[in-house]
Amino acid sequence: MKELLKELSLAFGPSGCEDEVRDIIEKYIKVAMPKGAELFSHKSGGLFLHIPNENKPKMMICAHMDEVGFMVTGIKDNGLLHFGCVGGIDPIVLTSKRVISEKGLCGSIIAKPVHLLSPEERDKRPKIENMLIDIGADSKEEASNLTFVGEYFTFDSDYIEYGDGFVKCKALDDRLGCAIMCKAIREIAKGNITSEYDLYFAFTCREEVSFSGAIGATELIKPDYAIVIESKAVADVCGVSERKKVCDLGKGAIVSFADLGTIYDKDFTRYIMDLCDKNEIEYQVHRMVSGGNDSRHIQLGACGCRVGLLSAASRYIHSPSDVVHYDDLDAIYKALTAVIKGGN
Amino acid sequence: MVELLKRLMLASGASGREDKIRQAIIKEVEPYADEITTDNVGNLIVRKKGEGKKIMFCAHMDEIGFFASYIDESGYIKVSGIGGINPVSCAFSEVVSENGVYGVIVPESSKEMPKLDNMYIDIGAKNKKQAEKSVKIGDYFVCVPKMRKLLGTKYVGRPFDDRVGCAILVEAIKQIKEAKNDLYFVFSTQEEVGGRGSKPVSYSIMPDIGIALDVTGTGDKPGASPMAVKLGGGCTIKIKDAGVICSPTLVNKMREIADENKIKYQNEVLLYGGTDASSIQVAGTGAYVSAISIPSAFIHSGVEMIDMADVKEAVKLTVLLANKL
Amino acid sequence: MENIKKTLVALCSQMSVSGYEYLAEKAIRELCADIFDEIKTDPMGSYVLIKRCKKENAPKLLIDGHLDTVGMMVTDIKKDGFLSVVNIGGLDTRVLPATEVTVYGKEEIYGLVTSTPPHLRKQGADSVPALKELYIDTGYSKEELEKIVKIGDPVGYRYKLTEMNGGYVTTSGLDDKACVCGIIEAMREIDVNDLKYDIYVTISAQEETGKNGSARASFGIDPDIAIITDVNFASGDGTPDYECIKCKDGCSVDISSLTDKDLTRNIIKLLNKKGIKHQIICEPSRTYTNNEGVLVSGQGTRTAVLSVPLKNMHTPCETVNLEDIKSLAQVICAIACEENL
Repeated sequence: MKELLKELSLAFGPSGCEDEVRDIIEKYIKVAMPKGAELFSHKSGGLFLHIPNENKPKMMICAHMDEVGFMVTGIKDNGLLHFGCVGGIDPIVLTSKRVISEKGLCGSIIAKPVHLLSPEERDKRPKIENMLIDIGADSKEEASNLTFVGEYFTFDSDYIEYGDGFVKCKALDDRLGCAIMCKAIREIAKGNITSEYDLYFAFTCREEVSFSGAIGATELIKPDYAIVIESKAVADVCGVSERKKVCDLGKGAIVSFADLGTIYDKDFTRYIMDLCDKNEIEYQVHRMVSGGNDSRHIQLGACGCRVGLLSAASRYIHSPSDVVHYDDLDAIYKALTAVIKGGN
Repeated sequence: MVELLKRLMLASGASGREDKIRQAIIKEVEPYADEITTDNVGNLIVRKKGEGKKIMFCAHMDEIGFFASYIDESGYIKVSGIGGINPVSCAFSEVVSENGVYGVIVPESSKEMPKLDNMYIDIGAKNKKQAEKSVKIGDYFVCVPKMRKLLGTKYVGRPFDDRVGCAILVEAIKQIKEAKNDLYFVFSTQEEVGGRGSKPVSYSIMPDIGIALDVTGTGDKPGASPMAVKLGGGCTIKIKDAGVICSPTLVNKMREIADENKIKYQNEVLLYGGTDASSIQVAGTGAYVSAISIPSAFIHSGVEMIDMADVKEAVKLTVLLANKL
Repeated sequence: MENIKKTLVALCSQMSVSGYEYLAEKAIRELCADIFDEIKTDPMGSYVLIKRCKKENAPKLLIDGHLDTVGMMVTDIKKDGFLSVVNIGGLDTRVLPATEVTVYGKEEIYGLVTSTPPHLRKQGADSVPALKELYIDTGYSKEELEKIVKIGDPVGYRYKLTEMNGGYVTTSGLDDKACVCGIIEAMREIDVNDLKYDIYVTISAQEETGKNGSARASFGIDPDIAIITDVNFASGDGTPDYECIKCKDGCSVDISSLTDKDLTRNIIKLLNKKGIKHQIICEPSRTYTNNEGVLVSGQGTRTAVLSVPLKNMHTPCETVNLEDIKSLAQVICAIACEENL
């Protein structure tokens, strides 16, 4: 799974531009299709795999393929690029970070030298509208030959394993969900896991901007149950109070009862927790009502469904340096497959 | 060691007025030195000659104090600060002038945060005329020196900054029987006003290695600014302060020697304040420098606190370095 | 250009946070052994590289570029493997959240500067977090970390050199490794027979923390003329043109009241005569470069300052154009081959 996670995370795929990610997933699934399975796509860009099991309840497993990124909104006479954020990015992580375009052009977000800043400029949170990307072009003309208004950029960031089981890259949100689902599909194909459900895997688009991929998926599939695999923004870093840390990296899969978008189905969530207890899978409960994701659309889409969330604690989310812990990914995988197998 | 330290504490001397403390040190080290000289800015240089590297140890003799700048009609004395005076920590203290005149330094109002501008020394004079018989403009005052034992091996008083460094060097001079390196023990002047005395003396000695002995802050008292150094955790080996980045190769060597000899030490990164090491580093063609510090709480107040256990470790380390570097 | 790029990559892949320049010794020696007659180190951490012109009583020309960069130092090892740090030099704390670093402990370990999500941050935090609110995330437990890292270990940015469009390259530490690279390349290219001076190149230490390294090295060398090279602000968005020089317009000769008037004017005259591309910047009072220390160290020295335009100074995305480094090398060659400056 590590190799796949790396390939997926390094792939270019801001919201609305998920093609590269989708191709990797499609290729991976096609190597070994589960028996009787059907692969199809949604016109809005989502990719679905149906593993039929007649007369069983419909279960949808869902992760999004897109990542946060940037879009060029204008080119200045001096060759610098105005940009907007695709998805929610805290401008504080942007100053002097490297970015890369669809075509692989390297750039950086410029920073006025600290020596020339007024005290207010130095301490004030920067505004996106005042930030610019430098691609090494010295004029509008030169820049126009290299990029165009509307071109996507993402963070340029390596995949690095560090410390005791941590991994850092851009876009781990939510390529980790994609990777976990791919692994489950592969195991089902190998016959190592048998599903108790009429199973759908949904790789969705545009979660970071409008959650529209999940809306389409739910309309199409009309699931009875859904599990969303996500990253969860936590702050388990030095200097933050225990409560505000939300969750801890390396302490297992996160199950949530509520976030700002969804009150998760309590019975389904408790059922997942019971399965974890029974199978000795490490999990932790989300300690704060914070964040939100695809679940809100899935829960309330079509005829409504029972939705549960399995998420991986992630530090510095929506920055070039998303961080997660491998142990948590294993725990999520185990919890997910326990649900798929059914707890009799 | 406690008695030696006490003797040095009692010999007052603010920056630029180090005569008494210098005499006190000379008296202590005379029988043990190969050569004792005083330079043009008052630095005391005690040598133990040897063949090896030129090593300069340096502790400063001076302490912070007050400069009598104006005597008003009623005989109250307005002062300027010499060195890093913290008005909060010296308000309502007993003071003594370089000529032995006692008084108290008090703020005009005890309701506001005191500022040195609004403080004055009261020597009990009934008017200007009487005051002027005892104190002249330009006389120095210091807070009255004192030293008291607390629980365990902790001591409180002033000015540990930096008589404790001086005492460590005096003790080292006594203990080193034969110098393998060419040792210069410098008791410097005017450190509290910006490491001034050590500049010319470093230039004239141009040592290969310079090691300052001074006090440093601690982070283990309530509300102290964050710092990993603890009172009683051993002497420190300085890596950085606001004025100097110590030579990493020397720091590594010092740690090695300390480890081999089971000296209890802590790694010191001091965020605010500096010591003579910065002056020694940039003398002439430059020198390898670091410092050994004594963790001290409440520095520059009347109740500076140290742990004699840390001082003992510092003496051991100093003696070892003198011959092993 | 290929040589310049190679040298620049070699320099920039070396950590050299102020005070820790000695860690780069092997790399400097490998890079410069064939170019210079002698390489020495000094207590401040500077490297003195000598190239002699083999003429008797030749005057000494000092050429300085500083090796050190801004960085951080570990001040404490916290719970769960986080490190608190203090800045070394004029660190730009705006760029820190979620930035990648290397901690130079017993071994080199990877670290990330922490960044708290907006909805979990303390209230009223519409400001950039101060360094004391940030930590370095190492991913180790405190116990494991204490085996690797000590208080006082240095920390540097961890970004490899990346090529951009049009000859621009970006990484951290181009201040002042871009100039060091220019000096080394000039010395590689120059024909010893044309040299009019014994050349003392100082790849100096501790510029970012008080400009002491070059002054001490210069004290020992006692040069007749000193050329100080450093980066200068490149004009760009939000930077005032009059305080900046332009990328791709070549290295600049700085005119300041702290540089030697005649030396500076002679250099400009020489460059004009030889038709060597350059630009001029006026810094009426201070230069904020090593020239300030070298000027007054020892018996004093006549100094001039050359600078290379740099974007995003003191950030992990410092950006320089290779053409400007080449231009610096050309200007240095011209100076080293000219008598009576």
